Amino acid sequence: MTIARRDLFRMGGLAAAGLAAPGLLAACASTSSPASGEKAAAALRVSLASDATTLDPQKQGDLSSMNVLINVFDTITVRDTDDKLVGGLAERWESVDPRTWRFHLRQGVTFHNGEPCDAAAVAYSIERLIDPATRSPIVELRLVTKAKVVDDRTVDLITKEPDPILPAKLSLFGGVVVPPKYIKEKGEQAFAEHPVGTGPFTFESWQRDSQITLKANPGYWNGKPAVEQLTFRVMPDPSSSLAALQSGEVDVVTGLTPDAADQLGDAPGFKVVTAPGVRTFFVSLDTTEGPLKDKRVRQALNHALDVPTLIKSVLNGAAERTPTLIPRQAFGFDPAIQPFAHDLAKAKSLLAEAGQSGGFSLKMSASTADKDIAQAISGQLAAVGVKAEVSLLDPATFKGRLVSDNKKALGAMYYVGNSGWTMDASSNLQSFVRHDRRQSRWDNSRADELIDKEEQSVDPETRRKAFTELQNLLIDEAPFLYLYQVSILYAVSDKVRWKTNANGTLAMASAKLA
Amino acid sequence: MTGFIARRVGHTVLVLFCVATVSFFIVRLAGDPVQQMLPPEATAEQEATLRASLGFDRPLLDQYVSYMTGLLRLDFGQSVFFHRPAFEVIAERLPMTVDLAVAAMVFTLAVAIPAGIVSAVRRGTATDTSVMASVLVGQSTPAFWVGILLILVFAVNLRWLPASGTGSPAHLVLPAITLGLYSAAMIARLLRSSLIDVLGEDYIRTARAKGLSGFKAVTSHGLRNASLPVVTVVGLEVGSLLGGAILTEQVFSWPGIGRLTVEAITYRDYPLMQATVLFLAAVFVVVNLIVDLSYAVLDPRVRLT
Amino acid sequence: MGTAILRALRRNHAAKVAIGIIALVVVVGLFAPLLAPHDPNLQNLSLKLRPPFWLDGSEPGYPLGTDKLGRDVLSRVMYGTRVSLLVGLAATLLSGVVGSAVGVVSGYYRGWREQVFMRLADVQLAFPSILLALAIIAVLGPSLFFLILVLGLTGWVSYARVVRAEVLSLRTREFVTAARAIGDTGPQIMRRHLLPNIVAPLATIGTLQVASMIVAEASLSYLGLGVPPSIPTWGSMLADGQLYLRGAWWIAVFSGAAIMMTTLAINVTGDMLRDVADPKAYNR
Repeated sequence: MTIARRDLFRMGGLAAAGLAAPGLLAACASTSSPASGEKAAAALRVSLASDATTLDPQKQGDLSSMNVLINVFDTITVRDTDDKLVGGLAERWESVDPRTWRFHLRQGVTFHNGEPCDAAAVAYSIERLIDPATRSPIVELRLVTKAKVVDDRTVDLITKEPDPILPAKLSLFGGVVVPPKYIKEKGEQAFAEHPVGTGPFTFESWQRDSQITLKANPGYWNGKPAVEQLTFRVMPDPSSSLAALQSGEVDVVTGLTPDAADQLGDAPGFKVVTAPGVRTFFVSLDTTEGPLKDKRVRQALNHALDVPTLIKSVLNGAAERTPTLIPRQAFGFDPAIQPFAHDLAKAKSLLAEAGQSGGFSLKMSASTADKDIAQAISGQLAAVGVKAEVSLLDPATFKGRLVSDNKKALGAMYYVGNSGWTMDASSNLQSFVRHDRRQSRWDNSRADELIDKEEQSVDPETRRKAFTELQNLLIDEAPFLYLYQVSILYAVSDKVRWKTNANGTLAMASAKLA
Repeated sequence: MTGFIARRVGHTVLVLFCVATVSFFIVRLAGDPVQQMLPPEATAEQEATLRASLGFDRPLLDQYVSYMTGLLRLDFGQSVFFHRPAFEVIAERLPMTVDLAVAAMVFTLAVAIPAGIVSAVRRGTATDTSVMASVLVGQSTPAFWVGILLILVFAVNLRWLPASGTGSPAHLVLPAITLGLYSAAMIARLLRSSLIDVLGEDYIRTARAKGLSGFKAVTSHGLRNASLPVVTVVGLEVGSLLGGAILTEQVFSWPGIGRLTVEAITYRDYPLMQATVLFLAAVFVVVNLIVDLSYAVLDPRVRLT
Repeated sequence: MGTAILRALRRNHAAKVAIGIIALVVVVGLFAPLLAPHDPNLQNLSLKLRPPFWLDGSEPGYPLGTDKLGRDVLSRVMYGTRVSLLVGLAATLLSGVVGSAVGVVSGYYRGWREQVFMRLADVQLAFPSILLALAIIAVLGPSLFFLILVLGLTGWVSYARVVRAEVLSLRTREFVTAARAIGDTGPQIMRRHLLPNIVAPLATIGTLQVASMIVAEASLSYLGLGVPPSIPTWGSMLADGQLYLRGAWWIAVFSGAAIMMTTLAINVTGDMLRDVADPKAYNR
């Protein structure tokens, strides 16, 4: 969901939240637990880069909390392991009118405490999420104004403007369903410490900054998971989680950086898996002033970049080139669109045409988490005489400037990533293209029209056509430097059979132990 | 005496009041938790709604007054990211920091006391020179580099000890050495010089003249008399070990107060930033206060000003 | 004092070596562009993470190996010298000026000025300076100048305390009372009579503080709060190097060694200066 948050965690491998005071004595007692014994039950141990911030699924927005909670809660719709949108708590759905989506719920689903998961619970969850008092950091449902119970198994979601991809958004934490009675009886705080959902695993215990334990839910509507016990162990330092994998203390480590994966290499007992991800990276160009105002200059910079080399040498190959901002799996991606060719001669002649043959200097901002790649990009641009001085900001400052009202706060260029987790091109373009959006620095009336078309139409064919035209326009006008979508890297022990989906979350319901 | 105590306590409260005030305004210069909390695709409207529900849209002075009145009730505010009272979040991390500080202090004393005594007794010998050289190296090496070297040698190459994390006493070893090294060097040096002062005094010379060996003279007479300044510094070091572990905790991913401070800064979590700053400041001034007061009690010659 | 230093140097071999190291560091810093074999920011992605010369796989011309982007570690360490020295000296100077002014004023006038300044010093000591650094850098952006400002503003207390104590003992001395009798104003007395008499202790603290400022700069850079990345620094190399500790230890080890050698040399020199200024403390 949130993208920059991931970078935050990468910054220092920051752990989150408190801890249940293990102290010295408790620590002594727990030394015998890892590695040895305890293999009897089908237990799966997964490393987590930081502790969960809270276990209230509607109040968190960080990757670690999501990784835990995706196993305790269900969402209204789901992405399966092939990234297809399928039914979750809703079996099917349809658009009743442009502003109303109707969801037909699965029958007989109950929460872990026995409470029924019916239309009232779904409506309660949606209303709780959009209530400002909840202080939720989840923003997907911004167009939803109301959830209406039609009957016991049917809910209508009313939006203030048409939202063609609402069902896809409900596969993320915007579509999580929480137990109304439990929250009302026990209170918000108790719910955040002992969550109750409908998901494949039930909550067992949380030792802060140490581990979270879940148990298989025998009555799960989609069948009891093969894994009996699921434990998340908090390991902020990537190298120690790899060491823990090697020594058999954990079975799965996700969120590996390309370098970490490289250092791990091939060793017996586990393998490193590279799976396609949906997080795209690009460089935003300020098209409103200076040399970047000229589209020939922008095209020239795109031609100057050698993206395959960047992928190979800085990301160790763990990425796939994208022609524009849209990842390959997303609805609306047009495979016919060709990326810019690496062509220094052409870049130089375009610059000369634009009267910039002498080159120029400007600033390129990036988060410290992306410093290597930003410096490598700057190094490639230098080959055509463009001096992009890299200005690194700590991830929080970078994010603050990214979302600030001052669209020039990050300078003429900045390197940024964007996760289109709805897997619809709409999410990839949403904040960056239409001239009045928060991160847009490009004013093109045709692009604005096309955005309106894809955002407001419910008809897939109309939307697909709009996306194709938009991608052609993005190539021709080149308001960004297009780069790649990064792969998800994780390592699993040989005794685990499990595959991530493009979200890269740790949904372990499908995991099996050999 | 009571006047002195009252004045010192008054100063402490005043300092804490100033720290609370300065930190309140400084954290608001450093960024905005609402922007950190929301994903970048959030709209301006969503941002404004969340800001209002957190109360960060109120006039600054208004927020300041309610923060300060909250402090009087020991209410440090609600952490924005953890959705819980900031005080609770700190209280949970405290034991980890205390463990580390205690372990570091044990290491410090285990190294510093023998080193200080040996080099004082063997003053001028090669032993003394090498101890003092190590002390200088210890005082000159940045803690995080020591930490990185220890990880390289003992975790990466020898694989004797874990590189980071928590869970067993073995996890404490490298961070405790890293954190305690500077204090150990300083205390060894101080102990040596106070012992040398004391050893020069008449009664020790008498004792030695009566045939006591160097070590005997030191242990039976010297240590007691040399201990006052050392105890003072040890006290102050406990304070700085509790508060000064930011870098060490960062190097070893140790989930204590130091890392919590860095996390609070990373999230721009105003209430948590304010609370950690106030906590670190309180540890510092209270330890100083205790040291000063006990100094005054132990040594009546100390001028009470 | 000069002859005393020379005399002390003749006895103190460690200090001779230390001064030699400092001289070397200064020369490397001043002439880095001439001495460094490569442009410290020049990337060569095909030569990334090469080890130092005595190991297999090393690349001729890169004696201390290369980093993740194929930049020369030796050149980066050499250029890092400049930032460390500049920050160390400038921040020390700034905090020395601020601290001595505060110290002289508090010690000479006493009364409310002293109370205010000394409480301010307490607050400064109690306040975690990392937060101050963060706030300033977040608001103003990472830059060498602001880094010096932050370090300078957090380091003044030790000067203020020492100077105040010295002034307290000086202000009742005859030459000060005499100056006051002939009608010198407060500022004149402070400038003409008090400051010249506290130069020796100031020089000692100053020397030692250059070392702690260098470490402080490295710490802030390590936490990612230092100077812009186009300027190589020892602290940021150390932070980068920690990520590659398993495969490429040389990045962290050489930059850290540079920090340690420099601070050690400065501390040894500072100790020698203190012994000269205060012979009673010879053994400390």
